[in-house]
Amino acid sequence: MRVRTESPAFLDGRGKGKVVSTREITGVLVRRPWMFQKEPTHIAAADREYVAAEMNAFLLCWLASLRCPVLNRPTTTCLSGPLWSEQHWVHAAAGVGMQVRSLRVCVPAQAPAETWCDAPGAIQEVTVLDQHCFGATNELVSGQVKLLAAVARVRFLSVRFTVGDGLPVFLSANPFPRLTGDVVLDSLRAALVCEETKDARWIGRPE
Amino acid sequence: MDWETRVILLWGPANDAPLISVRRALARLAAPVIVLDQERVFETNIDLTVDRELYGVLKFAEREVALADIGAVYMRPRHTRRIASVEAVGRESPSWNDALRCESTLACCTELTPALVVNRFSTMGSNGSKPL
Repeated sequence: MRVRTESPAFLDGRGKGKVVSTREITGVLVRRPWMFQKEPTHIAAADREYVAAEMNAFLLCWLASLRCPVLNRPTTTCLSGPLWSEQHWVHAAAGVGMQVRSLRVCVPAQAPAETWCDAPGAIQEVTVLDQHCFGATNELVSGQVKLLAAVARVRFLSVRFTVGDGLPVFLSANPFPRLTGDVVLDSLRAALVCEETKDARWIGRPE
Repeated sequence: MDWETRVILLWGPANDAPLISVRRALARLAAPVIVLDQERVFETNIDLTVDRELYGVLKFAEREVALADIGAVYMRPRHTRRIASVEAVGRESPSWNDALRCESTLACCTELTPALVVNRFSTMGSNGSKPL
């Protein structure tokens, strides 16, 4: 890849011999949280950590500079949205009104190391893409999932709940939703080819 | 415990120069401080529960403090796996995992606590663009 530092939005990407200008990219779907230090196997082992860190810094800078839709926008902790811990998601979910189970962590580890108060029941997965919500069984859940996405400052998010007799109980959230279901994929395509973007409001505002 | 008497948590290697400077300055002010020395990570105990609130207890050596009583944090932790006492136990030791869990749990606490934190990892992310 080659990037002009005075205008990082203009970049030539070389994938398998094909040169693509950033101007030609209508949207970006990010499917990895980071480049990990073990990945650049063509680099001497002693230098891999450094190279991976440089690559992450470069990708973060470039993704953040794009004016086309990027799902999700990078933050300083992840190339797609925030890299939140399980505890952080639980806290945020409770903050938007979702039912959650208290999550306990002990150091040094005790047995069991991390305990949910109750065993989970059936699983329901809800995916939000902008104002579209897929898989929600009622408007309350749909609204809460959208709120959680807003708090996390992501446009594309899946949330899993356990479902029992009462309200669904938050289980986990993932800024890398599964790419399944025609309705989700159609909405995703539409979101990635829209014009100058509502998504641009995030530029320069990584969390 | 009111705001003025809340504890200030210093987290990092106790021989870290900026941490020493801050510690001395706080001592001059007679501010209540707990120093979480990373080199002594195996003397650290955390019991953290998270839901809408964040509550629990942090124990270090002979000291114990409720997370709710921590009013501010100054943190300069190094990668735990590079701490001498952690390297000494080796990756195969269960203590190695405990040390890493201690780091990630404290990182989680600093992200979620309403206390003043200088600075949260999420805010210092750009500093990590180069490995130490």
